[in-house]
Amino acid sequence: MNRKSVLFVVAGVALCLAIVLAASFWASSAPDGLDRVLHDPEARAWRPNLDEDGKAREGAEESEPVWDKPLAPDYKLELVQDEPAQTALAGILGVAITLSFTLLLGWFLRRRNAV
Amino acid sequence: MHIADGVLSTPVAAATAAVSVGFVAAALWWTSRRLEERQVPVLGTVSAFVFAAQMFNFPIVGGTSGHFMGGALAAIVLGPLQSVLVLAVVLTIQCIAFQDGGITALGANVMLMGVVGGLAAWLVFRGLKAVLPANRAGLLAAAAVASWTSIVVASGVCALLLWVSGRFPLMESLAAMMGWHALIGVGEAAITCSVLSLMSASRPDLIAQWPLVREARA
Repeated sequence: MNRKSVLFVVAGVALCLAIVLAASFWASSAPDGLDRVLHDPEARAWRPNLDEDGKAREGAEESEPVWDKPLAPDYKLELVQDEPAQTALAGILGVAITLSFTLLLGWFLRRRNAV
Repeated sequence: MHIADGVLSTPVAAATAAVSVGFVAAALWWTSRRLEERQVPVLGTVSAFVFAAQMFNFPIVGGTSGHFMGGALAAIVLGPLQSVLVLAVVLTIQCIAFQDGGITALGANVMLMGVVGGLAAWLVFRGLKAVLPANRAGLLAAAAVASWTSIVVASGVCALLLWVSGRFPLMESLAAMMGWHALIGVGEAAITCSVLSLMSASRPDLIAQWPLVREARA
């Protein structure tokens, strides 16, 4: 990588870390669009997977996660006590894993100039 | 839009996984032919950005939030199949390391956010680029519409998967999913355009779909 590329990655990573820090304090904990639709209390009338009392029919709800050995479930790395710090650490770890994996992948996949 | 385990029926989970495996294989092959050496840092940085930005749920209305998806950004900066690769990597890391999105629904999540989101964005962007003025404003407008469309189309296909899985009637599923995501798509467009503006001001040569620089460079 030349100097300009290094500068681009450093600036990009700085932006990512700023976003992760901001997210650990201010990210909304409200359900996202899909979760809202799946658990919408007002939508029960048309949910075939709920019975008349609004209870889930058997086998119709989300199961427990099948993969149960995550590093930091729900983006909380429980090395520290308070919650924003747990999320920030998980986010930094995630950015580091994603960046290093894709840089390696790109390095292997890149088009070689030599034929 | 990360689907958890047990939401989709087994045939739907299996079929979407097969589609995703096929597209990821095609994306690996295509990227190995197309990715220039100077794009390797871009692939890494865009992927890291998609991961980070997906953590930041922003509130919309009615106690609901949305988050950035990134298929449009990756498709415009790198290319349509390259965006499949970016989303596949990010979603797999989220699933394995952070338990976000079920591992049995990983194929569906890659198909929705990587394949459908990325390809829809790319098609819309290319179509609009051909008719809009070839300047910065025109390109950003095309990117905004492409970003919004990628979210709404992906949510529509997600609604179809929920219907086929027997969770909702078709029309209600489509209306609810596409209704919420029409709002979330505005956030997607704002974030995609902010990043493209930053890159356009600093390193426009790194945006594959930015014709202005191609001419300037030549």
